Amino acid sequence: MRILVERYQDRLVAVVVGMVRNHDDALEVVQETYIKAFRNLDGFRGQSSFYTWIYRIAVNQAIDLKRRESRRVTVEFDEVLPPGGVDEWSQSSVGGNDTFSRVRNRELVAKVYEAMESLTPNHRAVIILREVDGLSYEEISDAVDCSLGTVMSRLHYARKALQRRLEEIIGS
Amino acid sequence: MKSGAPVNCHDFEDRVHAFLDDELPDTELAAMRGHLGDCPRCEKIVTGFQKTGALILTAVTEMVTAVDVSGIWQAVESGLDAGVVDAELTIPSATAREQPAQSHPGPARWDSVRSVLDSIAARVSPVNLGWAGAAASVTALAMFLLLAGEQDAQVADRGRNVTVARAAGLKSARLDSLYGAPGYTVSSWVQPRTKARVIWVDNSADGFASRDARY
Repeated sequence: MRILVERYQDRLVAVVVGMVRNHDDALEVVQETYIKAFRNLDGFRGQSSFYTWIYRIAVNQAIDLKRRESRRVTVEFDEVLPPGGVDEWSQSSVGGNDTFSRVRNRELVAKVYEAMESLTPNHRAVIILREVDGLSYEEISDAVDCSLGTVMSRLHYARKALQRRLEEIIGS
Repeated sequence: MKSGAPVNCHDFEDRVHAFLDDELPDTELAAMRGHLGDCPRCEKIVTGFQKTGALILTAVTEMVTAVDVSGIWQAVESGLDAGVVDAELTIPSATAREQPAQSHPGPARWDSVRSVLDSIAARVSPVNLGWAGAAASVTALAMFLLLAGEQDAQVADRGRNVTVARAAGLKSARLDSLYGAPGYTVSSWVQPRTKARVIWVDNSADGFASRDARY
């Protein structure tokens, strides 16, 4: 079990952080996801891979949490962003691209999250599974339990909506 | 749009998301790339979506760097109400085919798992526990053995998924053999809630996949 937990925990945390926007909530969701999964292993039919199965649980847990805690509309970025962290990441991951090297301050990250918050949980789940974890359409379909067509339409909508909201950043 | 046919802006926009997500067949991909090289307008569309995706990844990654994942396992273990894993091993290459566990010279934990399975089998009668290798493509086997009521031991139907066996209300099942391949991990634990013993065989390359049990 420990192997299973450690193998997928980083990926799960990334997806859930994108969903819930708070690292304490993300940890709670990931832990509850594993506990729920292990307690219900007999519900796993092997028709999908283990990680898409566990993603489905995680996404549902995250959506449930957001519904329960809809009062939480802000995030304490002072707590979650280490000093200098953005600079280091943006330089290493986007290779000096001028636009994205600007993603180095908390306000900018906050804007991205605010844009994502404008999406419904289902749209947010699909865009995060694709852009953050790089899942294929079929894997996303398994993870969020919807058709390929729905995955594509949600991705299309989410990308367009986010692009509109982030136009100021993207265009500059 | 026909596969491999020239692409105009309308076609491109229709398929831009599949293009970005690498979900197009090679022939269409080539046609889309060809159009992209000649069309600044469509190039701008792609760039905009790519920047959007990169911003999302950047923001999420920033959040993730602040998350301490080191305590997840402990929290999960605690949440399951016990340190329930009593055996775990990764099948080494030497056991790829027809390699009885008893003679395997590998890690001691192999014997540990074997003894767990022996222990399970000893409680279920009749028993014929034997280990056998399988084809390299391997059958992953997950067995749920309900330890309660073993006096009513039954053998699950051959070839049936163990989940089906449970749904059929079997009190126990017999584990005759385990089919594994190099790189697979075998864990054994007792589920606190149901008291069912779980033998979990996990393919490290593709994630867990249960197949029909062979026993």
